[in-house]
Amino acid sequence: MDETTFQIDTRGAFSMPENHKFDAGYGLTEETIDYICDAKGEPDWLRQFRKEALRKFNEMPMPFHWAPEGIRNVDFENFRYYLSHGATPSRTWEEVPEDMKRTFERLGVPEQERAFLAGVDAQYDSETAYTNMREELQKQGVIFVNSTEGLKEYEHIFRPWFGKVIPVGDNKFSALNHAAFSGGSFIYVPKGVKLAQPLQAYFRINSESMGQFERTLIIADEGAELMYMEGCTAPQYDSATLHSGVVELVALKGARIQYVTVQNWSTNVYNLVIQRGLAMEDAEIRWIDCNLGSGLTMKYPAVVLQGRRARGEVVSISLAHSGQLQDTGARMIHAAPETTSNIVAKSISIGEGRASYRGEVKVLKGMKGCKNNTECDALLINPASRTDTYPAITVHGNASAVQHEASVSQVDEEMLFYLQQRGLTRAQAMSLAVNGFINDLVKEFPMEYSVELRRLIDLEMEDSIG
Amino acid sequence: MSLVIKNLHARVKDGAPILNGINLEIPRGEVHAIMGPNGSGKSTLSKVLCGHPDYEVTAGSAELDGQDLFAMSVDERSRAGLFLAFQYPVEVPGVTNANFMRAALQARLPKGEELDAVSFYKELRSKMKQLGMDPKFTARAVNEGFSGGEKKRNDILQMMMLNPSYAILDETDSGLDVDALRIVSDGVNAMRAPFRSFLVITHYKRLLDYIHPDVVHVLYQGQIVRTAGFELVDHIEQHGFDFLKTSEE
Amino acid sequence: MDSPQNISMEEAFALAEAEAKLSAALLESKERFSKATMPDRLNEDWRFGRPHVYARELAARITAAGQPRQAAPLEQDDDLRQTEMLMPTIGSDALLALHLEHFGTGEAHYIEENTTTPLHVSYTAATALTPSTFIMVAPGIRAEVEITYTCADSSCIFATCNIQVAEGAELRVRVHAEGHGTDARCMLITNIQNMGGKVAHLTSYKSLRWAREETVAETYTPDSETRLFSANHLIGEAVLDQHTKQIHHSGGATSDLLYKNVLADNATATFAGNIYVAPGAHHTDAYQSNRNLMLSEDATVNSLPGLEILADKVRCSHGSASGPMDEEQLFYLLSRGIPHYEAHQLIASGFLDEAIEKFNN
Repeated sequence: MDETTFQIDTRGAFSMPENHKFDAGYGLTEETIDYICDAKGEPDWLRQFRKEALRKFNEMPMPFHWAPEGIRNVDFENFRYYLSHGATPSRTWEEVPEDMKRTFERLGVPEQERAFLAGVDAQYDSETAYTNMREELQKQGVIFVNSTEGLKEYEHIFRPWFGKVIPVGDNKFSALNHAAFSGGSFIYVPKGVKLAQPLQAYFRINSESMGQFERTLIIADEGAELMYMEGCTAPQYDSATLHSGVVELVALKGARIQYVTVQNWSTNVYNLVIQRGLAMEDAEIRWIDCNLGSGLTMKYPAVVLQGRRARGEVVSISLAHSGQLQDTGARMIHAAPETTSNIVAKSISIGEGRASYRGEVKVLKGMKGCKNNTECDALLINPASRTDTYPAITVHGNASAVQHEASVSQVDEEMLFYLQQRGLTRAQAMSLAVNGFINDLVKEFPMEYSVELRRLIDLEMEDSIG
Repeated sequence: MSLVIKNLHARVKDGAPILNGINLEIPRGEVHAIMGPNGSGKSTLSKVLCGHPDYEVTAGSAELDGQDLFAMSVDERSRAGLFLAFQYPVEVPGVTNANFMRAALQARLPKGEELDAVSFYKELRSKMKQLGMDPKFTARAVNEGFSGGEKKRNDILQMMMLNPSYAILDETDSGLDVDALRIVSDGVNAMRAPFRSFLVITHYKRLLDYIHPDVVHVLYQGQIVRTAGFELVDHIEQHGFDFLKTSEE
Repeated sequence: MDSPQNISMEEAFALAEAEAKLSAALLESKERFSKATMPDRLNEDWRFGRPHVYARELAARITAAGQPRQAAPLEQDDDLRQTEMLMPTIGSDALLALHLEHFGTGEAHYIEENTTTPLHVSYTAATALTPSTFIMVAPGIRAEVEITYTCADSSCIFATCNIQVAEGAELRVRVHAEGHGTDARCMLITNIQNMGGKVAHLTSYKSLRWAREETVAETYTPDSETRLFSANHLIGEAVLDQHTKQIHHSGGATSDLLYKNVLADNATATFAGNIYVAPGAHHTDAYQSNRNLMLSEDATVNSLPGLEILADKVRCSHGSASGPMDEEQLFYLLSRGIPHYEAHQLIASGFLDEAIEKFNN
């Protein structure tokens, strides 16, 4: 594929004037929820459900006892909980309102869709502006719609799994999402159907003080396979923006789901996301996660290994420059025998940036033949850069093996000198070294994304050192 | 008095069959060699005879001096006189060579009898000297941080200390330089006796030149396909194992 | 030593400054204790530690036993009391406050000459004991100390230990805590301050229903070397809860930690370690390893190895591994005729010996 096709604005540092039909205003109350439900035309059970979630959200404490300090600055009163142009997405780009269309074109979304995607869901603030999928997939029975449409049209599939992987009361932020969710994808891949090309979601925040609470549920039926990719950007504002999505994956017997994220929010965005997958017998779930943007990210993709021989994997890259805290990691819950999991996390801290790995691996009582392997490597670029590692491992019994290794290193000065002597600038040399550090992980991303990733990293290095 | 293997079938636990009906008789006092291409089942045979948990016997029998080998646990087989010099001797962190050997010898004494420490160390030292091993090895953990050659030599030391009636040497020559090969072979030759037999598994002639076997077998696809005298070794050295394939066609 | 009249202006200022610093620190620690509450489930340093059960029970036993007035040799020494007031805990300030209320039992050793045989310190509890031990090693001195805690059934020992090692000194401390009966308990809070010496510290816990260790090892000068070890064979209902911090205040120092456990029966082991490299503490080498050998299907391990690196040119790593006995090792021993039980014992003790060997060297 021609790489130049993707010379697109991957940083998304631009904005369009606000033009909303619906605006629920600041703060989250029962009235806000009524406003959202009315705007979306939701059934009564959902309204009650959201209100119950709001009650839980208000009752539950913030996780101050373990979360990074920065979370104390999150002020839920200062966000706008629903901004949209209407709840019905377009099926063609022509029908998408001009400002949104121009936004996604600048971000390269339609172009990528034509080139290599099986389907696209493009969210603008609270609602999906565009959803479409290739026709042959529709014929195979694949469902790819936004969450509102999913609950409306496919309630019989959506509702039984809704909030089952990540329950309302799991933590304060899951309660928040259950109360305020809007947008996100609902995907169902029928038995044995294997998607050759990825489905993509693009989450765009345009408005100031936005709170985006997308909700994604992906169900891969027995033997089904799919890859889902999400990208996200927002313009830089002085005021804070909150992104607090919930993603639930269900991989039934023998199914395989790969979920790829390239997160590049602006630094005024709090990125507090819950992602968890349920892997049944012989199923596999892989989270391939890259966090480049946002001022504070707290994100620990999880796999609950629920069926015998299920496999889980998290591949994670984090890059933190000054003003950023990437608190990322992984969770693996071995709830069935002979389940295996793998975590590879690499982080890079630049300037006064801070990258933390936080992880949990649990082998439950009575489980035999479980295996986990975790590797965390941190690269520190400057004297003031910071890295932390906080894993928690629990193993029951004598028939499972769990291993965790972590290391911290710096870019070898000798190597930089060597490269500079050959004529590279220090930034270029550093960029090469950083790319080398994460090279094996970047390969895990689809080719189109890995090209973009390398470009983004080059940009970051130039800005911080060049 | 012999090791008798009849129609032995074995496989990796829940996996593919590897041994497909082996018949072999090794009387005490004789030295047998088994040769064969990679994957023919040589190492599997040695592990199955010793009772490695990764393998299961699906048919056939093996008798050690008339005792049913497969009815015995791994350690019982050892105490009954069967010894395996491993292809890859295992590292046992924290357990010193001396403690390891003492435990193995102690296990061979009747209940209530204590191993005499003085004569034990005396014997250990003299055998180590014979194998050209540094006396400091006694205090080091079993095989930990040893080179490939040191590990092999350590296994031969164990054989000399445990005095087995049947010793299987599984590719003991691999990873040994010429000097080490000679020392190891000298050790084996010194142990040849009318009451002891050896089964030497190898790819190469060079070990067999030192330890001249009485009988040579060729193992192929889990079966003994040829049995002859030492002349078979020369034949394989010159022509390789290709004759196996041509004979098949 | 100079008399106060002969000191220079600068020295007088330095002295005054040190005194001011100390009183500020003491004030701060008073505030720390006044704010401290008994550990609860939101206390991250007691994660997996069941504080509502174990911290409470320890406090109850200490309180019930009253204050042992007769044997209180340290009681009159304000400096030692202040040292204890300033010692860090890992989530147990409230318990340290309780310990300070009972301050007085214990020993203080200023080691100013090389010792050839280990110095023995031993404490035995019939009901409850709250000893404090102070070990200070002078510059360039080599010393070895063995501290033994023995607890009768249903008794407990709650001990603190402050270790200060001066430049060029070498100290080896072996700590052994042992219980009798089915319900002996023990908690040790240790602070090691290394000012450019070499320290090796080994703990082992035996036959205790519950034991908690909080060890904070601080290095203040380059070329300090602190090595922490622990080796435990846990059986029955034993619960071992170990927390460590390797704090590098200055660069150019080394710290290493190896904590190993063999777990049988219903035993539970928790290890939560942290390496903290302060801003500017460049060229630090710090390592941490927790290894657990699981022998029973009812055994439980919680392992939380942590790193916090705020400096550059640092070599740091940590690892944690928990798993069953290596089948190949077992087969190797069995194949030499060693019976099953003995083979298990050999491998298990060999597993722990690695830590003890490293401590000895």
